[in-house]
Amino acid sequence: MSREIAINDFIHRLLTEHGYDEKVDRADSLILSGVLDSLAVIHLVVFLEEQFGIDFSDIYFDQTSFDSIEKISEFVKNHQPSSS
Amino acid sequence: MTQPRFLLVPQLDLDEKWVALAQTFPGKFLLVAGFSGLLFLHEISYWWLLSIYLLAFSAWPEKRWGVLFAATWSFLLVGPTDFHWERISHLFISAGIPWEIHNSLAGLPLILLTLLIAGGYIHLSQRCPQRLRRPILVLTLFFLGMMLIASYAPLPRTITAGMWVFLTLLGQYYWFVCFTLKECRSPQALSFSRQVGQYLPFWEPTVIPYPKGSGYLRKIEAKTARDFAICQLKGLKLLIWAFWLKLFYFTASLIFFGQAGLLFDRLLLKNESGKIALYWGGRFLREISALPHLTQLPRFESAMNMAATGNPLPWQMNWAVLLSDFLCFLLYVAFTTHIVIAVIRMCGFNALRNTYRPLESKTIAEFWNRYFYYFKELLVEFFFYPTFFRYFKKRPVLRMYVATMAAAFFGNFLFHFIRDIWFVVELGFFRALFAFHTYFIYSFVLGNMIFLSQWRQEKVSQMKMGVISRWLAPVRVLGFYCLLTIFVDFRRESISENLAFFLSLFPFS
Repeated sequence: MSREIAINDFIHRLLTEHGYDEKVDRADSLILSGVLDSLAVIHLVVFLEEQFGIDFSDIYFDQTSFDSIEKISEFVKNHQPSSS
Repeated sequence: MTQPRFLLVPQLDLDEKWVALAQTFPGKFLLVAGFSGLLFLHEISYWWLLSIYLLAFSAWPEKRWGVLFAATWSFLLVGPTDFHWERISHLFISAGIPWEIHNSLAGLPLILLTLLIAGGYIHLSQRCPQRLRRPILVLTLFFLGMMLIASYAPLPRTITAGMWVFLTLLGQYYWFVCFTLKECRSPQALSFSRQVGQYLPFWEPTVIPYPKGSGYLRKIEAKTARDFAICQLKGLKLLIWAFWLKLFYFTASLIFFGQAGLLFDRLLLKNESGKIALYWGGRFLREISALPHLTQLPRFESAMNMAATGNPLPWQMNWAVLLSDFLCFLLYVAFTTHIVIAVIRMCGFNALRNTYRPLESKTIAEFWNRYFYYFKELLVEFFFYPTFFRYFKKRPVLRMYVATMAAAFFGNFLFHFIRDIWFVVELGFFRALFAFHTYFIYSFVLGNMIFLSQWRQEKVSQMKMGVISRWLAPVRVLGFYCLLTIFVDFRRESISENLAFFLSLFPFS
């Protein structure tokens, strides 16, 4: 659960920086809806690398895997080194 | 009681009555009929064929992928393409092969052979992911290597001609194949045969895949009847908005250049369908064109030619030409790609717009994201992400710089070099590379400025921007891109011509 809280906090900070002030639920679309762009995805990637130690160099990467807080959490669960 | 607001584009997708109607059989028919009427007014060639396809998409939404396959391949055979069959025929004939190809139907065996080879490579990369770890990089090296061999190797002319034909055809499908190579490693990858239905799709059969690959298309497809209805209404809305933008474009052309009537004449000659709409539109604008103009600037190309030959216009006039041409160019990109996205939405794929309010951009990086979204996404997917994920992880600034340059500089340059392969056929590899030197400098400057913009954005994002800065930001951004467009024109003899125009913008020159 703490994983999802950290992701949730980060996404909300990112959205505020992007000038998006509407409430976002855990299943709301972020990428496919155009709320976040590729630069925001890069910020998210750096956050996930630093926070959860994920190495993206050998992962099949599709930015739509980050389409919602729920999906990001699922992605982290599947790729976090300690979980494998 | 609130007053009803006047809107240029009615909010059809937010009105429950319209959403309900669009789910009924008569409603679907009405929607396609309205959309077709607008396509006709937009002077879209083959608007009637597109309308037949859209009727099929509306009637059988659950068979969307099959309809897409049939539409794409039938359109390829009868519609306009960028295959340049006359040049391909010339290649064959000059190599002593008496094969004249006049259209895609006659060239179908060559298209199928190219796709068969591409399919074989995709299959290989799927079967041996460990041995072929970087399939897109290998494909790029193979493509460039073949260009070099065809340019300089002492091979029989028939083999050289065959290689060029293969490369020019593959060049058309290049980025589609790259998307498939990327997506075939996804756990939910679509089969190659299904992906081929989206190669050079009927809604825009050009080298840039709209909207990205089949995997993306599957993610944005409408899942329910209600979603489909909303998606189609959004498509209709966008087409209406494109109509307004087109009107702004012609009005701006008329005001700045006094040439809207001429533009219509040119379209009339090019376009065999939609003559009635053109006749009335063209006649109306020609009548207005006869009136005295507010300004009658020369077009950008003429102003540039004058500067290049040592007879520049006064500097104030050059600024007026540059700014007005840039504005018209933005309007042109917006309305043409809105039409494409509108058709995609009518097929039940809820794609984002290609151009989204570029004039509101506060940074150079933001403008790059807003003005041509799908080209930027292509560069991000194939150049930015792979570089960012692999290199300089411990040095964040260098990491961002290298990844940005990989996309906006190298990827941008490579995309245009592959797209304009006929330059390479005519000039040979190295001479063509030299002929691209202006674009090389253009993309180098662009890459560096996007990096600086991202870097600066990170630094100031925590701070609040003042009112004046907020107003000045879009002016600065547009000013930069406006000046940079001088160097987009890379088909000139040398960069000195572009520089001559650049210098003629200043009074001291």
